[in-house]
Amino acid sequence: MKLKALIIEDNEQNMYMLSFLLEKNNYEVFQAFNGLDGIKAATNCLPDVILLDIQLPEMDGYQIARELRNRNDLNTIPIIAVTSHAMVGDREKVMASGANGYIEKPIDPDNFIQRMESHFPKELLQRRNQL
Amino acid sequence: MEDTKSTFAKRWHWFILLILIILSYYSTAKLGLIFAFEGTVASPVWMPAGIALAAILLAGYRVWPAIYIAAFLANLQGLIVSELPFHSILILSLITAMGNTLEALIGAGLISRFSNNPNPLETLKGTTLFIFFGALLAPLIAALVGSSSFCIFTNHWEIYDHLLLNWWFGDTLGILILAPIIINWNQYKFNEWNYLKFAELVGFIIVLGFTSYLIFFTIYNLIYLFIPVLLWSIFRFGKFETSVFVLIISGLALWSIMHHAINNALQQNESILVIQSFVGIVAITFLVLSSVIYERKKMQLSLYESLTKHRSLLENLPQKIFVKNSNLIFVSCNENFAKELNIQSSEIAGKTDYDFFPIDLAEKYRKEDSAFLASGKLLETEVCETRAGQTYWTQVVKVPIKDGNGSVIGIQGIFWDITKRKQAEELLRLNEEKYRFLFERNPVPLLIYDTETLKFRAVNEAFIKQYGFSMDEVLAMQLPDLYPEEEKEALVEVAQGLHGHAYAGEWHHIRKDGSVISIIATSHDLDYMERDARIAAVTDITDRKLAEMELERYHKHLENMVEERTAELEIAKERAESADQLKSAFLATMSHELRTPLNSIIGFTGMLLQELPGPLNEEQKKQLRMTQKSGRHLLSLINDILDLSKIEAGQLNLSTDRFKISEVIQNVIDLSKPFATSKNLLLTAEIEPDLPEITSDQFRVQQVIINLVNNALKFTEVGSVKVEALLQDKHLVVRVIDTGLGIEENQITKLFKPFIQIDSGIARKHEGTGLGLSISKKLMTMLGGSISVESELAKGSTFIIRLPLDNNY
Repeated sequence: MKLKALIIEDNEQNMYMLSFLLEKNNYEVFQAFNGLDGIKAATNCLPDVILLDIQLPEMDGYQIARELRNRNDLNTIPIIAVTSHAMVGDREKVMASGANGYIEKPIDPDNFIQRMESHFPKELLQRRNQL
Repeated sequence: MEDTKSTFAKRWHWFILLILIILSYYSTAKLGLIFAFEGTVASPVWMPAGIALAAILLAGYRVWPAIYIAAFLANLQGLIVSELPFHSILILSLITAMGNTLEALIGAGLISRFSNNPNPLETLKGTTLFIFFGALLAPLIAALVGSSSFCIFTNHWEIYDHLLLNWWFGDTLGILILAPIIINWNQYKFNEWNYLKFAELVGFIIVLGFTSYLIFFTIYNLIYLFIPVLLWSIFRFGKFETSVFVLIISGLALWSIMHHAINNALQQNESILVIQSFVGIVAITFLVLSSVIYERKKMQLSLYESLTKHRSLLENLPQKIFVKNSNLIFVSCNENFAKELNIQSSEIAGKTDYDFFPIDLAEKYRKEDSAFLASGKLLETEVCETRAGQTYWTQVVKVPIKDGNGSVIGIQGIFWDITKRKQAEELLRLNEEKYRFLFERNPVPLLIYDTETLKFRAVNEAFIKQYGFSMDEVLAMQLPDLYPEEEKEALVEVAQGLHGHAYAGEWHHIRKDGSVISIIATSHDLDYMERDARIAAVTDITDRKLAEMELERYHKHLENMVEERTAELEIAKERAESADQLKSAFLATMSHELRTPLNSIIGFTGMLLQELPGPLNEEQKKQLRMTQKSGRHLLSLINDILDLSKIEAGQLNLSTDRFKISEVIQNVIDLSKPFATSKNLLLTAEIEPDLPEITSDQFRVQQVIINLVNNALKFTEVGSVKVEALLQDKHLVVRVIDTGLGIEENQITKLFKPFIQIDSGIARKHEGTGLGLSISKKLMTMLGGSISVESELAKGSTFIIRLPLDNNY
């Protein structure tokens, strides 16, 4: 059984790239183009990992992360922020909002999966390795 | 005269007095009638006239009835022998007696009127009055009345002038001879007699008798022999004795005439006139002389009395005292005065100023004393003399010595040295002048006012100048007059509450021209001309007040300006802040917007090269790698530019982390390992064990080390890159050592400038933005550390960073 990854990203190219990369790396990918959809999708499919863009329409990544962390059913899912917000303090802001990891764009396909999985909790990493 | 009258009244009973007057008058009249001209009552010497005048003078006007009665009886007696009918004799006697009485009354009245001495014969003035009024004028009245009435009743007008003249002369002689004896006898002091005096008297009487006999009964021409005899009497005996002697001589003279007359009837009248003149002149001469002598004697006596009375007191006084008589001859002096003249006090009597002083000085003293005697008033003077260059002051007091009549008979002079007092006074005066000067010329306006009435007592010149009032105007004013209405009441209250030295506060004063000035005053109580007063110093603070107001205004203005400026700055600051925020937002947006397309470029090329979508031929791979490389270069360029911009805009915020440098270096090695491996270079780390954790910005420290390591790898073709970490001087030192090209010494300084890559020739060979070292240097500075380089061409370079263990940026 594949791990489920939810990607919340408004940029179609990025969405396509991450989806392609994750699928190629044996992930089941769910897509959401805004925050509300993302939270709905997370509620419905209960992903193993959430890749979260920060700059999003209507509801930004920080808000989504906080919302997710406030949900009892979802607060254990690792959230990895993938963002072009590479300014000083952005990382800290992201982590403070509840994210588990931070990968700045542009991503490097050579080590992206490795970096993402380095933020996984032990139990999830074991499951991933068993696959 | 009061005294004499009361003495009389005591001695004699009034009634006895009257009887005595009548008897004596009548008896002397009987005697006189013996010598009377035939058929008349006119006698060559009419003694009763003297008795009448003396009685009125001594006992007063009230005794006149006795005189009248006696005169009437005497006349009656005298006329009864005439051929006139009795009633005529009666009337004639009454009229003649009236003349006799009037004679005494008028004579005595006139003498008393002009002489204030009870005994007129004691002074020259009184004696003159006695002779003129009593002996010459008054008898004329009696003679006129008597002669005229006699001729009317008898009708013997042919003897009128002869009668008148004899009557007048007879009365005159009677008065001149008898009145002085009675008057002088009244005051005569018998106790002054002693044996010596009595012996002299006996001798004198013998001489007198012998002389009289010689003259009147033998050699008539020797009449001048009387002169020494009478002078003896005058000088050696008193007035009374002399009067008696005059009477004796007169009696002898008349008796001799009568004796001669019997022998030579033809010459009788003529001889009587001659002897009358002789007696009259002798009497007058000796009356005058004796009065003068008496006056002198009495004056001498008074002086002597006044001297002896205070003698001991005067002797002991420190003052110098002398007494001069009215002729300015010294009479006496005390020892101090004698010492001044270098003589004994006993030697002074009889001397004058001429005996002691140079003539001009003596002349001067004489003039002063004469003027003093003439004024008769007490004189106090201060005399200044200069002797041997020294100034001496003498206080001189001259007191007139007066006799019982108030006439000045001498000078009592008292003088003493007051030089010291004068010097003290002068000193005082100078002092006073000094302080007066201090007050009057004081540049501060000063005023003195009465504490009770608040009236001005004095003000100084500065005050007059300041306020414009004249001195007279000020002295008519009160303190509140200077103040505006609204301050007057408060001022009076304050003025009454001040004590001692006090600050009187801030007030307004109105000057004469109406202008108002602001003042402050300080005052002090003082005693001014024996009244409670207060001196106040006034300071005009009008200008200061104006300046204060101006300053206040300026201060306000400044405050406003500051407020305005602050507001402006606030706005500017807000603007700047918003510009900063704008810049931050711009940088963030740029960063974000540039990364998004790069994400696709780098991401997709990466994925294509992984051949995830499908297999690629070699040419495709080669081209995709080139694309990937360009994308990565572009990304690092963007990162560097953003970093530099942030640093220069002050937008780079540093975080404070506690970390181990070994971890950071391991991360760098891990990250750079693929690059080193690709160039076949050895990348190693050598970290001193037990390095302490440091406090700094971990991300930035790592960024700098990555930069240095990547640079080293970039410029090294063969060999190795080594990273060392060690502790040195409480600083963490990280060295990145390569075996690369090395850097020329003159290039080293340029290294850390932006967009510099050493040797533009190889620049193109080594890709990079040229910003790395510049950013690294700036970051190190921000972190409180430093970066430096050591290099040797062709051998390699060593980049060294030093970081404080505990950062406090």
